[in-house]
Amino acid sequence: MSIQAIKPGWWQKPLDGQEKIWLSIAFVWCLAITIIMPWWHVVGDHNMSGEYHKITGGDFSMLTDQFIEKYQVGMDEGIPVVVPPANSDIFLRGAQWEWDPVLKLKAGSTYRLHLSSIDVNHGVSIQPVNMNFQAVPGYDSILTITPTTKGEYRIICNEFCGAGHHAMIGKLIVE
Amino acid sequence: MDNEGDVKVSYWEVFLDDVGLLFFLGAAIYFALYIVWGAMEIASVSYSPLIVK
Repeated sequence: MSIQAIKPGWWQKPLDGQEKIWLSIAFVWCLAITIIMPWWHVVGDHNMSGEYHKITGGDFSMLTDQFIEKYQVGMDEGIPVVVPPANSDIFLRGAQWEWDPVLKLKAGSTYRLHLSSIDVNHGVSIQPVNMNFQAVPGYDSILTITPTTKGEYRIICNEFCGAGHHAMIGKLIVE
Repeated sequence: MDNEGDVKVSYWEVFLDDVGLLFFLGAAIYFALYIVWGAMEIASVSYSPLIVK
């Protein structure tokens, strides 16, 4: 809509030179960003889109329990501690209001991290590195991770999940 | 202001001058397409291969 009313019949008039230039620039820019989006998705130095599957809370819990049973080495404040081998599937279960198990990983090794929630949506925020993901009930979200820096990290729930949300803090250890 | 009433107005001109219709179509078309795209995405997610049914 222009400020001044356009005279009827504008459709039949040839394009003005400046209009041609600006339309061409807009068209070329549309093409450029259409190409840049998938290109940067592939070559940009960032995490690729994860793999995800449907799963019920019961099935995810079963897989997590099997994982804990197989690799548990101890307990930490009532939460099992697991030391999984490199290149294996590892599981992190979110539930009101705790993360389990405590994952003890080896720096430089790669793992397939399965994330899910067995009740409501939880936010997985790994601190202090500030890496953020979602634990969505009904979905097994898989991230291929290679921890590089040794240390003890906190897993904070950053998606409000009820009365105990503020106390939902897990632990991730990289050795 | 000579002979403005005699100017032949094309259907494209009528369509492109109707800002209300353009606004509606600009919202409605993408609303519908994103709903369909989302439904396709949800429907295409497979069940976890780690669970043997």
